[in-house]
Amino acid sequence: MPLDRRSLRIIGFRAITLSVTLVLVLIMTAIIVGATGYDRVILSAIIREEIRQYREELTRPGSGLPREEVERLVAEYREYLIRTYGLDKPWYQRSLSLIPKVIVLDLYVSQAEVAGVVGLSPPVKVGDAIAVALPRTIVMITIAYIVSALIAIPLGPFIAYRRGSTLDKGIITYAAITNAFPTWWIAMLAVALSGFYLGVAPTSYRPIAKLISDFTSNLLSLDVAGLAVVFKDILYYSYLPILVVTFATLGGWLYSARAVAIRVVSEDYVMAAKARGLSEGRVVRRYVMRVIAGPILTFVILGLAGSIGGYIITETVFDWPGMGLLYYASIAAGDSPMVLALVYVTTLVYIAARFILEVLYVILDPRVKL
Amino acid sequence: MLERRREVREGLIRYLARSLRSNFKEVWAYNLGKMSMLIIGFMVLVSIYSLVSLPSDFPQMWKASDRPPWTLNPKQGYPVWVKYLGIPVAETVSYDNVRLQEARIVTPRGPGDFPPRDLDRIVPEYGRSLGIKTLTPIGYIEVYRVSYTSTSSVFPQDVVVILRAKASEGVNLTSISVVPMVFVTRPDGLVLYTFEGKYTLERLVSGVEVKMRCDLFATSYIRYYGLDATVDSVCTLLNRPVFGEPLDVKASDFKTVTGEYQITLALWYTGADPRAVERLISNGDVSVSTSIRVIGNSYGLLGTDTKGRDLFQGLLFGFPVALIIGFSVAFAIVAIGLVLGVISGYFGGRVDEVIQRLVDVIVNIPLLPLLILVGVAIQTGGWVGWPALTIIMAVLVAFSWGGTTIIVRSITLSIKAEPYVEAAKALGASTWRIVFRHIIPQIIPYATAVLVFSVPGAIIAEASLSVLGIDHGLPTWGRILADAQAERGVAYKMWWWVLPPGLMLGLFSFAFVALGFTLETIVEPRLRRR
Repeated sequence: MPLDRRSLRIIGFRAITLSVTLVLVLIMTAIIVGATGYDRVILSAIIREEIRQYREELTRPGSGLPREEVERLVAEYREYLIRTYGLDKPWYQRSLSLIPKVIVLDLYVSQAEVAGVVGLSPPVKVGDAIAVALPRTIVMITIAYIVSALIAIPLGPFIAYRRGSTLDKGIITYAAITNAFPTWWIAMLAVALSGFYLGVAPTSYRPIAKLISDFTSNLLSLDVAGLAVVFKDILYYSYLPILVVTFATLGGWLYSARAVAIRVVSEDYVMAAKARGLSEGRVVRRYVMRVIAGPILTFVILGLAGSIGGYIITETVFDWPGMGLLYYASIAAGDSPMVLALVYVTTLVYIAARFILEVLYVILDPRVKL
Repeated sequence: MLERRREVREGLIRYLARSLRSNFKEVWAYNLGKMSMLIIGFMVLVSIYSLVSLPSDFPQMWKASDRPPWTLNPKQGYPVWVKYLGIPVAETVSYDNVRLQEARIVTPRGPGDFPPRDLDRIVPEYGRSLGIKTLTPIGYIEVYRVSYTSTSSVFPQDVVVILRAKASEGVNLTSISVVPMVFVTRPDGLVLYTFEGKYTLERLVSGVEVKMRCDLFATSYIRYYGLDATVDSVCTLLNRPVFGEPLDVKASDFKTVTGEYQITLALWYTGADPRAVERLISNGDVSVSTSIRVIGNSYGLLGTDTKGRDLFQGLLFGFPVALIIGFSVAFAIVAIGLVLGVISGYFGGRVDEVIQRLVDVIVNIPLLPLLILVGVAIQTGGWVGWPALTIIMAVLVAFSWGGTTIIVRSITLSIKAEPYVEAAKALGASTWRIVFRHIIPQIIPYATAVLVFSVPGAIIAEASLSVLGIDHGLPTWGRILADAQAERGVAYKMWWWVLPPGLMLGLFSFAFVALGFTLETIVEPRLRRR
């Protein structure tokens, strides 16, 4: 669809706002880590890593340097690094030097157990760790969202036609309840009940990491039998998280689908179609669904960006080796470079998602104003 | 001028009081509203009870999980009432300040009288019990006895004896020592020697808790039952050999011995002349209070966690904290949103432009990552308790006022265009008067709805941060769930740990969202009417 000048202007304006937001978040991050002295911890970790690499280089076989010489060079290098990173200066001069490194993710994971979450062993660049974890998170959320959409969009008009019925009231109650309880707590209950009490689901989901890599290697080698076996295991490990996230999001989806559909089913052209004697199914498919699908999708997908944060915690509960567990592990181990990188990447993903969705919004609904 | 301003202010307060009263009545008329008011009322009452009943240093107490009173509770204890559901439990029974049963000076009556017959008369358990006694008490001895009935197939976890001495000035506390000896007489007649130790009175002044020891009786126990097992294997779970009998020679499994148990504590005062000790005690210059506690596997209304902490008290503490966090954050958000929204809508122009651009940025910032960063930073900086929580709350407020500002601004814009505002302006009313007389009173009902809607957000955010591993050191509902998450292997099998805090979180946010919906349905038509 070609975009007119007005839409382009709106999109351009959004892009500027969001870029300003990202820059502001970075500056705030610098202030937070600087004013609390947290950047000292992060920079020390960076310096430790660089010195380790430098020493390795110096003591490589064949370099022929005597030990005292190596120690002297290392000490000199340490002095140099401390000066470069400004550990001898007040925080407001120092924190700014951190920002460029964060933007290009030029940081190293400082704790081995954090790298272990994504199945790597140090030295690991934070970007590599996130590159492994992020898709796992997105896959889980996306599948749950698709399942929710497939249920909610056809069901919305069906409920809207039965406004005030027991079913309608039941759906509203269900939406209210799932809205009130945090998704991660529902996840806790699900893991406790089906994992620990009934034993029909796993209690820890970490093996999924190996299964996913097995799956891709089988896929590449076209091993169909192996693929089936691995797929069955993946299903075993993923059905509960998907079920829980779907259960928790479905209420909101149904509620908004119902709200949109109620407006549409009382429109004149729908009434006219009904008056012509068309069956309910036909009216819904032909006249209602087409109209409501767009608004529901944009409406709820806009919420997706906001809910990524919530899934991070749900993942922690499942021990699902995605972004959530990476957060949990790096907070627990005090891996400060990783925490900083995660905050940055989550913000970036959020803002990028927001931008894409707002562009979609402008394209789908030409009435959107600045 | 000043007079007028006061008049406007009083008018506003009167208006608020009136609308609050009528709003309350209207909310009560809705079923959903009634329900939410009842829940919130209940929460407020529980909060008051919690503030009154819990000690003021409860957070520190909760944190010191390796100290009493938690060490005196069963670990992973069930709630006591599960016995009515047919789940077999062993009760926790406390015998506070047990009454002295008998006291006398034990001395050998002649050269062949060792161990003296006196001892057998006052503590017959001494001679009959299984166990290695390294000491033979000669001197002033006090005997305390309590009985405990075990009826179920569950083993009590331990027996604790708590000793605390009080002494008058001038008593030499280091010269007198006390040797507590503990015997458990079982319903089947077997007597086990479960404790022996030695403490100076000085040590007892600060209180001493002694638990059972297995090493004393294990060897004779193995011989008594003819077991083919080592001390280590018998003692893996110390409570099983004491309250049960082995089912096989390997002692791999035990079965409880039910019936009435007698726990005997003999306190032997040594290090000084027995008569002098007797005199000190009868004068009241020295007194040792004795409490005996049989730790079952159930405790309190909501059981205990893996460290023996009373989960009911933890849950109770969460009520006022949730209300305080929820209300202060919601109030701050609405206050900022109200002020900036009215300014932005009423004055327009450059101020409006600046505020609107700021709002654009604010609503696009993802809150959780920033909260995590702040949380980790303050945790590294050593902040704990209320200061840490206040910082987290401030960050929550700083990035949440955007939405309210947008709503308030649009309402202000529509009111500003009303003819009566124009008329007031034409009559020469000051900006102050228009804002406080005509605009704010109309926004207040809306702001109240927004306030009520924003209450649960803050407490859910706090809980989420806790579960992610950020520890602010206060036992909130989120913190209790975070502890469960950290020990998921055992905690997830303890429904009394995982269920109640989450239910409270859900009930809390449900009540406020329901109240918000009710307020909105009341407020909405009124806004349209005007």
